Amino acid sequence: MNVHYATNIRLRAWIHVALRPIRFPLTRRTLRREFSDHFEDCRDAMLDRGLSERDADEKALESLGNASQTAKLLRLVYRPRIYAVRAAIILLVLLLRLPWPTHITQQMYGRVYEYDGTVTEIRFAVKGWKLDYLVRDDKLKLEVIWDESVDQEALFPQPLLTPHEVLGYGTPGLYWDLNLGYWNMGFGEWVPSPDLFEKSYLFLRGNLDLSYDCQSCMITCGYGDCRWYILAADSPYADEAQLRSLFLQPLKSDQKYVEYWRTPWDER
Amino acid sequence: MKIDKSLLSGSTSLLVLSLLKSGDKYGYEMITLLEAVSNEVFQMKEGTLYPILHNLEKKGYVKAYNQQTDKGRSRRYYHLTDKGAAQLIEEKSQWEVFSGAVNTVLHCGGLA
Repeated sequence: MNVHYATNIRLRAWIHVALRPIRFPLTRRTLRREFSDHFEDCRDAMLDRGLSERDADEKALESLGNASQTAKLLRLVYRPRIYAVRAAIILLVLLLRLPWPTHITQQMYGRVYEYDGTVTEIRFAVKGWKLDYLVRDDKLKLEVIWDESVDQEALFPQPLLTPHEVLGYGTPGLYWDLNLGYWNMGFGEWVPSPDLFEKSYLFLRGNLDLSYDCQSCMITCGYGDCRWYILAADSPYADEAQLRSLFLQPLKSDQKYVEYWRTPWDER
Repeated sequence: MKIDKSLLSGSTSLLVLSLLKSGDKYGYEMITLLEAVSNEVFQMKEGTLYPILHNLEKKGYVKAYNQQTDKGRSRRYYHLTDKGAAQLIEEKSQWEVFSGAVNTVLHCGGLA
């Protein structure tokens, strides 16, 4: 097609305006080609009628019509798909922003995030558990994350623990590095050293998800001089039934926490 | 005579479908044929035709395919599908009822 440069520019501009509402490359390409072909057909027809090239270009451009009007019509045709794709993109972005389950299969892991020097966050996950450690005001707190697929009411007929409260660990100024050797990776047990245990305190106020296989999981917790333990099914200290009964026993009226007094140290 | 666009807007898909009834056509061909058949009453612009065609294609009334021309160019032809043919019959009957009613009112409007 031997179209004059200025005509070509005008044609491109027209197509650009008309295709503005179209976001899909394939549709854009198809329409662009159709418009160009049509322009060419029209131009050839005008030339066959004996018009000069310039007049043929002008007539062919006229035959395109109003670009904005075309854009409006195309928007009506492709709008539903545009919205569907936009909705899909928004959904994808939202899904990516959601906190993904942090529990892992075979290992425990931990990480420390420094925020502003006073707030540190440690997140870690244990097999069968999904846990978040949070440190606020120089105290390390652990927040237990619920799996929403679990029937919480069936698991905890009487709410012993307030959902999304914190399970905390730490003494002021003491920050945990979960890779300091308090892990027994082989059994998936986490046993703090007695020294550290004495120095620090841990309290639990939160729901724990017992729906997972917790065969290789033991978490040791305490609050002040009160200590209590969540023990794994295959641990020497408790079986799963014990573990569940620990959580399912009703609280006394003045009791804030379920306490489980048997400690690994006692037995050793 | 210039026709008010609003009169045409409701019947454009009917016109396009009926143009395709006689065989597969490409855009420019449809416009020229429409112009010729209607004694230049309907002068559809390219920018009006293609959104209609794409809408019809989306609804499954027409199907587009590419075909090489003698000059070696590829053209996008439109083919009336069975669904489109059924729709054409439906729209045509609606149009006949509608236009008949309009004509009746126009002719009998001045009853008094």
